[in-house]
Amino acid sequence: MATVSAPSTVGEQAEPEFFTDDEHLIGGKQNLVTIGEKIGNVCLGEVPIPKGWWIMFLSGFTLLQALVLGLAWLFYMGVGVWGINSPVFWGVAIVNFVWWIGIGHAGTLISAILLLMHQKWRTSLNRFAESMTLFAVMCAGIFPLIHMGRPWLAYWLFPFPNNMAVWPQFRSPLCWDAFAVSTYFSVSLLFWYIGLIPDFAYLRDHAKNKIQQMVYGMLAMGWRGSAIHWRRYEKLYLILAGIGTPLVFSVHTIVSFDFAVSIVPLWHATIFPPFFVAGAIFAGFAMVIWLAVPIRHWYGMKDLITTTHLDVCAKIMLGTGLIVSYGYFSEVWMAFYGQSVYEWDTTLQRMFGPYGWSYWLLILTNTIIPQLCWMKKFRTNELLLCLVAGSVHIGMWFERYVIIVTLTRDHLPSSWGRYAPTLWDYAAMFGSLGLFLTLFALFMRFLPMLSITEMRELLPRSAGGRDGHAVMENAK
Amino acid sequence: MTEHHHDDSHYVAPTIEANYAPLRRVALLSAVVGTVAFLALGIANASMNAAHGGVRDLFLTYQSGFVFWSLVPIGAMTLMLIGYLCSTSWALVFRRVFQAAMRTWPLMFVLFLPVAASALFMGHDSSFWWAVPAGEFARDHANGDPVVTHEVAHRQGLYLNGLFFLLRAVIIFGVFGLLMRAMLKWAPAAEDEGNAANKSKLKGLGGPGVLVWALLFTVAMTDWVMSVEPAWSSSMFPVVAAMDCFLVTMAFSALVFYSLVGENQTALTIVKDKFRIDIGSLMYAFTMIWAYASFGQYMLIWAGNIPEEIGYYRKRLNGGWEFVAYALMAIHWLLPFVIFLFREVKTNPKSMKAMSIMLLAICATDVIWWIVPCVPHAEDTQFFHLLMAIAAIAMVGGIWGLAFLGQLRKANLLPKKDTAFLANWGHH
Repeated sequence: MATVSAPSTVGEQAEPEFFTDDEHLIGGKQNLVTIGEKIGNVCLGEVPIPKGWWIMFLSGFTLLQALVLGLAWLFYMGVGVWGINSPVFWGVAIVNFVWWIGIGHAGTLISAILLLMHQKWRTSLNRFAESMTLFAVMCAGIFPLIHMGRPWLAYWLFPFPNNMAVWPQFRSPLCWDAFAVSTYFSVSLLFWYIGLIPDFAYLRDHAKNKIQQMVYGMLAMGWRGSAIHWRRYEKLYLILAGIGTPLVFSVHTIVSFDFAVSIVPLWHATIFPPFFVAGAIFAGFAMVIWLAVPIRHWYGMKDLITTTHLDVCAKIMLGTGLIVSYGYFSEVWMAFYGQSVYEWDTTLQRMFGPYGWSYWLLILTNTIIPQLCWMKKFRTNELLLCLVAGSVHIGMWFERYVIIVTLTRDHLPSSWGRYAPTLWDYAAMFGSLGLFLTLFALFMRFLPMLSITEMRELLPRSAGGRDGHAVMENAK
Repeated sequence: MTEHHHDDSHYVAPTIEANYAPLRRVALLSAVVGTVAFLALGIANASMNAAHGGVRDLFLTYQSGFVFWSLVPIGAMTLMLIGYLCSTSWALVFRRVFQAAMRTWPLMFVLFLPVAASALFMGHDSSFWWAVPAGEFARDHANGDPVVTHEVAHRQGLYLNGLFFLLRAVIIFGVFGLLMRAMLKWAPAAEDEGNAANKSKLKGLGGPGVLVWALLFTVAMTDWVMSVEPAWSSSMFPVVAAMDCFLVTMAFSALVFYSLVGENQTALTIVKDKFRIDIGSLMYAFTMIWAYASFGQYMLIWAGNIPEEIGYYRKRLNGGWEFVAYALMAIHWLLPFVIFLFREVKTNPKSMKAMSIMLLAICATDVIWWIVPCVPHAEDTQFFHLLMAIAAIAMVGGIWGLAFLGQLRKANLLPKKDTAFLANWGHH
C-alpha cells in the first residue's frame, strides 16, 4: 500500500527547497529539480557530448569490428582457427565467458540484494550497474554459442519435443548454464526496464522534440505517476528484487559446477561455488568503479556519485577479494592435507610448471595489489582506485586462465601438451570488450545513467523525497 | 548513519535487571545429568564392546561435545571482530554475551585436553585414525598392503601426528586467546567511557582479526573434525563449519539475551523491533548459507563419486544416520527458511527463544553427524552412540555454561555509552 506521497515525475512541481546531505550520499545542494535536470538533460541532448564519450564509443566500435571479423572467420573456417586442441579443449572462449558473466553479478547485487538490505548508497549506482550486467551477460552469452562449432544448433540446449527424440543431457551443468544464464538475463532485463519506466515518463514530459517525445513516450508505457501506478511499480520492483537475489548466487554457482562436477584435479573442488560467487562480485565491483569514475568526470556527476560511493565499492571489492584469496589458500591447503598424488602434483605444476607465471600473476593482481584498499587514500583517490580495479580485471581473467591451463598436465604424462590462444581467440576476446564499450556508451547517451526516481527518493521528506526508504517502507 | 542527528555524549544506558538463576539451574542440571548419562552410557558401551572400540567411542562422542561448544567462544570472537569492523547493531545487543563467552576460552583449553589425550596417547582407542602406527592401520584396514602403509606413514610424517597436532592446537588457542584478550582489554574504556582511541584500536583489529580467524579456523576444523575421517578432505567443509559456528553463537546469544530480558520493557524499548529483525534475519542468512554450502559439498562429491571422497557420505547416509541427514535438511534449512520469513517471529522474544533452542539442537546434531559416524558401528548400536554424543554435549555445555554465566553476570547487559546507538536509532 503506497502510504507515502510519491515524488512527481514533473520536477517543476516540487518546492524549490535545497538540501545538503550529511551522509555524503549526495553532494552539493540538491532538490527534485536539480536531480531531474542533472540526469535527464544528458538523454535529452541538452548537455554537450564530452570528448571522453567519443573516445569510449569510437574505440569500442573499432574493437567491435574485430569481433565481427573474428566471428566471420570462425564461422567460415570452424573452431580450428582457435588455439584449442588436445588436451585443452576449453580455451580462452570459456575464460571470457566466465569473466564476463562474473562482471555482471555486481549489478544484480547492487540492485536487488542491497535494496532488500535497505542500503541507501546503492541508489546512485544501481542503474548503470544493472546496464553493466545486461551488457556483460550479452558479451558472455556469445562465447558458449560460438564455442559449439555449430552455433546454429544452439537451440538444442533447450528441451523441446522433436521428431529425433533428442533431449538435452539434464545431468550436465552445461545444460543448467543455458537455463541459468537465460533466466538471469530475462530477470535482469525486466528489473532494469521496470525501474526505467518512471524515468522514461520524466524524459517524455521534458522532451525537446517530437522524436524524443514519441520514443520515450512509448517506452514509458503510459505512465502518469498516479498512486495506483506507484503502488504497482513498487510492489513489482520489490518482487523482482526478491527473484533477483537468489540469481546472484545461483548463476555463478552453476558456472562453477561446469568445472567442479568433473574429476579433473583442482577442478573438482567443493569450495568452487562460493569461491566463484565471491569472485564474481569482486570483478563486478571493479567494473562498477571503472564505469563510475568516467560518469563522474565526463558528466559532472560528482555530486550524485560521491567519494563515499567509491569508498564503499572499494571496501566491498577488498572484502570479496579476501574471500577469493581464501579460496586460493583453501585449494592449496586441501591439496596438501589430502595428499592425493594427483591433486598435490597438479598444485605444484600450477605453481611451478610451464604456466606458473600466470598463477603468480594471478596472486599478485588478485590478492596482493587489492590489499592497498586497506588504505583510505586508495579507496577515495579515483586514479589509484582505478589502477587497483584494473589489477582485479587482469587477475580475474587470469584466475579462469589458470583453471583451463591446468588441463595441459592431466593424470597421464603421455597426454600432456601446451595451449596457446591464436589471433582469432584474441579477436573475439577484445571484440567482446568492444561490444561492451559500444553498448555502454550508447546507454550513457540515450538512457538515464542514474535512476532519476530513486535519486529523488533519496532526498529527505522536507525536500519532496522519501529519505531513501520508498520501496521497502511501503512494502511493510 | 542517522546517529549524526543525535547527541550521544551524555547518554548512559539504564541498568537492566536480569534474573540469572533459571539459566544457572539449567546449566547445573545439564552438567549433572549430562555427566552421569555420558559416563553411564560410555562405561556400559566400553564394557560391552571392549574389543570393538568401546573406549574410542567415549573419546569420539566427547569430541563432538567439545567441538560444538568450542564454536560459541570462537564465533563470539569472530562476530565481535566483524561487529567492530562494520559497526553492527546486533554485535551491540549481544556484546556482553560475546564478551562472557570469550572469557571462557581458558576453560575451553582445559576441555580440549581429553581430545589432545586421544590424539597423543590412545592409539587404537583414539578417535583419530592416524593415531595408530601406519603398519597396524594397513593391517587392520587393507590386509597389510604396503602401499597403504607407505601412504599413511607419509601423511603421519607430514602433518597427522600427535605432537604436531598439539602444537597446532596450542597456536590456535594462543592466537585466538590473544585476539580475545585484546578486545576484552580495550572494550570497557571504549564502550562505557566512549574512549575514542580504544574504539579506533578495536575497529583496526577487526579486519586483520577476521583474516587470522579464517586461516586458523580452517586448521582447527581440519584437525578437530575432518581428520577423524581417513582419506576425506573437502575445501567446502570449513565454510559449512563456519556457518554452524556463527549460527550456534547467534542462537545461543539470542536464547540467553531474551531469557534474561524476557518482558523487561526497559531493555526491549532500547532493543527495538528493527534490531530484533536484523538479528533474526542474520540467523536466517546463516541457515541459508549453511544449506547452500552443505548442498554444494554433497552434490559435488556425489557427482564426482571418487573413492576417497564418497566414503564420507556413504557412512553418513547409511546405518540409521540417514535419518539424522533428513532431520538436518528439515530443521537446519527448511523450517527456519519458512519460519524466519515472518517478521513477527523475529520481533517476539518468546518465538526467538524457541527458534534458538531448535537451531542449537540441530547444530549440535550436525556436529555429531560430522564426527561420530566416522567409524562404522553396528546398525543397532547407532542410536546408542547418538545418545552418548547428546549426553556429551549436555555435559560439556553444562560445565561450560556455568563458567559462562559466572562471567556474564559481572556487568550490566548493555554497555553504558555505546548503547546510545541502539537507544537513538532504529525508530523506522
